[in-house]
Amino acid sequence: MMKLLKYDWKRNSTTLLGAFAILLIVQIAITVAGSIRDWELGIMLGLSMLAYGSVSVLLVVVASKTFDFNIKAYHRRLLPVRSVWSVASSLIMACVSLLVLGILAALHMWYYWNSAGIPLQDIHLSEFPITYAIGLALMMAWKLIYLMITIFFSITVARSITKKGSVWIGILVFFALQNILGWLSHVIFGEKVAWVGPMATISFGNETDFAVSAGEYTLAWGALAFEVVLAALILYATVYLIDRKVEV
Amino acid sequence: MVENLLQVRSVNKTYAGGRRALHDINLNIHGGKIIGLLGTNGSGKSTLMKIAAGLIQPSTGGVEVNGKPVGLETKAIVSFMPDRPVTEPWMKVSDAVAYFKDFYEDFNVEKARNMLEFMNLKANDRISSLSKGMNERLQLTLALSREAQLYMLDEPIGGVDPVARGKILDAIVEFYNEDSSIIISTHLVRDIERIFDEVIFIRNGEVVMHDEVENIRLKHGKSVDEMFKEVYAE
Repeated sequence: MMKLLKYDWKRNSTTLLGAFAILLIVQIAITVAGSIRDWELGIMLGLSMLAYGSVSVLLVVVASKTFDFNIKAYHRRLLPVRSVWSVASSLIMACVSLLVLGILAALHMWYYWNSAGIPLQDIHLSEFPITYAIGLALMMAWKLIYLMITIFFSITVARSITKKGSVWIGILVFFALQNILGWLSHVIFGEKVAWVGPMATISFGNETDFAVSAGEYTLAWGALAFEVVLAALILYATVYLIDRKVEV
Repeated sequence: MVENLLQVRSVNKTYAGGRRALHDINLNIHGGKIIGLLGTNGSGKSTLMKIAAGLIQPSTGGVEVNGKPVGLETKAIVSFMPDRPVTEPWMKVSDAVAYFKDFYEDFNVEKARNMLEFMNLKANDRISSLSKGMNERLQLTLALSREAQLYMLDEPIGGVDPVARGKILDAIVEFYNEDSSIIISTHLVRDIERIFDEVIFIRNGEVVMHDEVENIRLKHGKSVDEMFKEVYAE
């Protein structure tokens, strides 16, 4: 699988590195323009996060296009390699590139935070159990994996259908999966979502204000297990369709 | 020599939209042969090869390579040169060789080096800048540099000039592993018939003849090209 990833990276490295380079230029431009024109910190932070958000969408699109390319490419389909590794390769590319972006965004937030001169103890980090931070990180990673698996499945469905309008069917499958499965989870496990934690709000006005709400540190194991089982089934269906139905 | 290297049993293939590409194909191919899969455009040659290579599934029937149903195991022993490149535009020739070396255990780097030299290809050449003829040479180099049991070449001389055509045919004869079999699909019969041991004529998705070249000459007193023109006369 690492070999597949190596060639996925080589194919997309120019696009990905280019996107990160443009992001860097945009962030520098925001910082410089903000300093010269004396923008409020909230505006600068908002623009920065907008840029990070845009790049994150681009990274998801690149990973999805890579997967789409791979399931149709002769030289990939002819390899004596299980199709599941092809899915895993695109998945890892999405996770790693978004992780790098996430780290950059976090470092940038920390920079803004320092620039605003807000003491770190105001966040009351010590009040959060370390398991909360780890759980939140793992949950975000899982949500990304789940999202990518459903996107890959929708692409595979679209490519399995050789009739006109297959792309629209794929899009429909994606939204149906997201909504119907979410609704199903809600019906089975009630109001509980997979994760409930403390809420943080930051508002920038004349004064910078940060508030932490009293949240529950609970994990709805049932809903999470349901999602894991669904992801496994969707993955199995994706591999089956690639092997049996996607024709090149 | 391997008996029953490729077995095709009652294979039918109908594409979405109802176009029938193959109808009740039965074939048995032994090791150590160069076989011509001959037919006009749209006769089903590429579809049959794609099924044997594991790129598409038959609608009904089955295909076995060396006794194993087409799948992961057979992909490791079948070397297929399809009708479109198995390389990517960003690659150099050396990247394409590295790609094959990374994924195919039977890839012979030394053989690839010799073939590249024979084909006048340089490791630093960018694939995107190669002409069609040179690209065909590269695709053939990659396919034949594997020590596979079955080679399948889909139109290896289609759309290239006579010089490249000659070079490609010379390379097939020079670098072909005699213990294995090689199936070459083409409709340019005259240029290539000299290298065939057997030919399979396929028309409208059906096998209309499967015989040894020597038999065709002795029984019918015709060359393969003449027989081809007779079979496909409209």
